[in-house]
Amino acid sequence: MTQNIAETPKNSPELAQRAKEIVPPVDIYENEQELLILADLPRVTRENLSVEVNHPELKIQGQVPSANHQNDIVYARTFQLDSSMDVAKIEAKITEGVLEVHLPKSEPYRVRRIEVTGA
Amino acid sequence: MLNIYRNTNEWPSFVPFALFDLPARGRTFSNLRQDLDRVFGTYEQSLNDSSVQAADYAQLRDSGNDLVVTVDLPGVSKKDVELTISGNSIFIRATRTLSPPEGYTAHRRERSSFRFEQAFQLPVAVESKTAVANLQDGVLTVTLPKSPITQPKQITVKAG
Repeated sequence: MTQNIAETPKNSPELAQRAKEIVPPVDIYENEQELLILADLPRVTRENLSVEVNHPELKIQGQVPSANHQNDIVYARTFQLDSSMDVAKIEAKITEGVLEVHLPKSEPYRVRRIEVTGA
Repeated sequence: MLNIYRNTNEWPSFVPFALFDLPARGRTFSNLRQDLDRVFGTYEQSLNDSSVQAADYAQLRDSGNDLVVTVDLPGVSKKDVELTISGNSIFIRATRTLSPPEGYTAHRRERSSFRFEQAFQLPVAVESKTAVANLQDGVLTVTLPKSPITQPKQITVKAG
């Protein structure tokens, strides 16, 4: 299995001053076609969620605003991608507070089965 | 909307009270974290192991007419949540069962399956009949209207 995703250890310090920053738990899966990241982001709505790719970084950030902005929460996590991902085709969706990010592998990195023909 | 089971007499016998002593009268959600830590230790531990953190995932808010309980339950579907309200206590049960998506190999698994079971004593009596529960964005929100007897009432003093 290739090591095609790594994590950037620290998130933006300027956000941490204004809100409680939380590192959400994630699962990372891989199959022949893609990498799949799952993250628990309870209370985060689609509007308050951003998934940003600034190669080689993939940044996930979800905000949970509070009424008086005293108890704001920011979920943030950044990953380093290698060049095997097709950045243009990354897709993300959030359901029941769980974010799914699909990172398709670019063509040369996909597993392809070649049919062997016989004479 | 979720089904709310109303139980006016006793808690169902399957509730494992031995695990967590019911909060004594007067104890409220400030003790929740401790209770959760005790009951829910494995979840916390798995979070600690990988240095990820959890928010204060259960909260009680007093909005005047209602008590509002919220519990973070990401990835939990409606059918896996059960609520029982009785007088001034509420019992919440929720389960999340995770398995790797088919055909995928795991690189990292920080999210865990959990079983959340907790009974809480509320600071005032609530009207279970008009309670409303909603599961959205991975958060369970239970709105519990306070019982009218707990509401302040002004009494006009008549002159004799």
